[in-house]
Amino acid sequence: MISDQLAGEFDAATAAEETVEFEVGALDPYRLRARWNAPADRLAAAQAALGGGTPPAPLALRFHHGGNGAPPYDVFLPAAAGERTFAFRRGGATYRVEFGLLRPDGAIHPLAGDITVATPPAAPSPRDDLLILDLGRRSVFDAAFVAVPKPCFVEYPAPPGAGVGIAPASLVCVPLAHGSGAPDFAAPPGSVAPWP
Amino acid sequence: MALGYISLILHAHLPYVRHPEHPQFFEERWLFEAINECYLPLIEVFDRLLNDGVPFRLAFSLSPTLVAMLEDDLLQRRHMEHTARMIEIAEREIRRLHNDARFHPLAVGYRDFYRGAARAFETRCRRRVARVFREYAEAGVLEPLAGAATHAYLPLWKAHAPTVRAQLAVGAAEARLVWGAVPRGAWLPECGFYPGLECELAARGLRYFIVESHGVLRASSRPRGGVHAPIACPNGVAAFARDPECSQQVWSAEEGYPGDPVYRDFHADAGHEIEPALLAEWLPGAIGPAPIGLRYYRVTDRRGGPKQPYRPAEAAARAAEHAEDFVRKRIAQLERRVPALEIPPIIVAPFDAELFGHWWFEGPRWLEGVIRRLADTSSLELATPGDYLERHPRLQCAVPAESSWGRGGAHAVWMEGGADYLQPRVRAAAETLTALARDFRDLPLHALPARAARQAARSLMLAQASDWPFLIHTGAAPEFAKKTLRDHLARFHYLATALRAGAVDERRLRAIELLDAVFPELDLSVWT
Repeated sequence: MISDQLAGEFDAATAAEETVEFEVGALDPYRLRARWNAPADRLAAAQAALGGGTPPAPLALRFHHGGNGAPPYDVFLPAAAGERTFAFRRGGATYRVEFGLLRPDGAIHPLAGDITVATPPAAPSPRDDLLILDLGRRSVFDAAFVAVPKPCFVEYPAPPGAGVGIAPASLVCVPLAHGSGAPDFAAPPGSVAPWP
Repeated sequence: MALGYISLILHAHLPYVRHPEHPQFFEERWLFEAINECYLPLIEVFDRLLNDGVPFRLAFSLSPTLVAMLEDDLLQRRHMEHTARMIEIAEREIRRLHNDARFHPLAVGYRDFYRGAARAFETRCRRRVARVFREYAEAGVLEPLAGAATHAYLPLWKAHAPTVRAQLAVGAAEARLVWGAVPRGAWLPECGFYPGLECELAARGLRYFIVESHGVLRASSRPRGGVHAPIACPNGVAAFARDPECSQQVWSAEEGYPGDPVYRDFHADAGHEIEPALLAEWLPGAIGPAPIGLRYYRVTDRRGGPKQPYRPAEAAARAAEHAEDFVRKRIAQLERRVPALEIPPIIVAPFDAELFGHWWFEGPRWLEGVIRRLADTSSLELATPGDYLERHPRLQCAVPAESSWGRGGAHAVWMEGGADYLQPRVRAAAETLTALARDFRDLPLHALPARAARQAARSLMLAQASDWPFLIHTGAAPEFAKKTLRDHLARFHYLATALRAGAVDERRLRAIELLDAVFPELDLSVWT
């Protein structure tokens, strides 16, 4: 059947693609997940470029915290391919992550481009400014509405009492435990959900 | 005078589970069950409300992959076969239970339920369920929302603008085809948002979207209206926050309505008690015990223990009570709220449409009760987010925070627990497709390479669906999800390789066009 033949194309296509893979993404405000894969030939070539050496230069991730002045720190990677989750104390932060071989002089010999990633905020914004935008001045059905390239603010003075309208404590929101699609009622052991 | 507004939003979506290459395919039942248990009951509710002259306005989203399946001739035919089989199963159950006073009436009820579904599908819908929802939009009771083409989880694609652009462009184009109008609002898959996405929405002419509560609460500037006032991004696109109290009342395991002891228990399915040999005969493709959709027990006790038989009349009465309770609590919610802005508050309550009828069997009846009670009260007005913006266009300016309604409020559901299976490959394929689109977009539409390039885009977009990581992460159907994802990617790889080699096999291309049969009008330039 053609559908089965086509399924075989996946192995053929991916077998030829042995490239360095490096990804970092934010799971939530406090966690980053990194995934890496350095094919053996690329790794050997990079080691050779550093002059070989015994033991060989280790694979590492280097994290640079954005904004708080903390020194970067390294995480040694146990294998040429893998994935790992990193937890942080501060939410809503920016990190630059390098992936490569740790050289004897302390620098990273990159195997891939570094990645900058921001975690989502974990708390209400420290900004408390009030700017009012009047959408009524523009119609969504007017083509010019979507073509406006720059923000177009209309400012009004804050209404009386607006600054105390909502206490910071009430801005704290704990997301529900469920994901989308299904209530989080416990299923009996061994039962299989019939659809997502 | 009303204290404020409430907006009920339903999002209907299923992953693309169409498998024409098999005479029967187990996961296609997800669609058939959703039609019978959710979409047709919702249609019945909307028809009753219209016939009774009850005023209502809901926002409604139909995902493009769901529409593709609802409009598909093969699946329409298979749905009828499935429903006929369900009627037959119910009749066998009637015979099996003829001496059982507790369960025999329920088996009869199920037979009548499926007979009614078959009749509604054929006569009311003429097999085209999506068209019926369009009629409601034309009648002014539904406000359509546009979505992403294949329900891609957009925050994972923020580094690849062509994918976000293409998902939204194709989603908006499909919405125009389905609804016959340009939607004003967007349903972001899984409420997934990241700052910057509002620009892509504006480029599609979309005026508002929905985010999870903390998306607004943690916005770039503190929201004076909390979750009860939309905020406007600097480009004029508005964001509405999901109300956490509504969510809690419907979804929570501890407090949620669907877990009430008298409601039908979703997990206690008769399929688990039927001999495997008989089940295999009834449910082609089933391997081992599987749910058949006939459920005879009520929840009884949320903590477990022996189940009691389901009593439909009692459950219906409870649904009416819960509808009353829901409206009363929403009014109380607004009464105790401190006015913070000069605009009235709005409670936004978005739900998966499939909650109503499938997970929560009494859900459609509850929804109808809520709408009827809202029509009777002057304290709360039912309106769509679009209606609200028309009346109250002056909003606080702030950009929502990166967020989703998934577990943990961000992206973990689609990234960990095995969910990132093949995702680096999918991202690499997106880069390849962008290059292909650039090279082949200007060819005549029916030229073989142009057809192949468009089909490559369809297969890849199906691989980008949020469903596959979700099904893997939750353990709901990991092997099926992995195989499906791999198959879509394999088809993409074949076409991409063949295009570059100038050797597209028309027979294979035709096969892929039949397998991944979505978005016939796809415009390749959206990928560039």
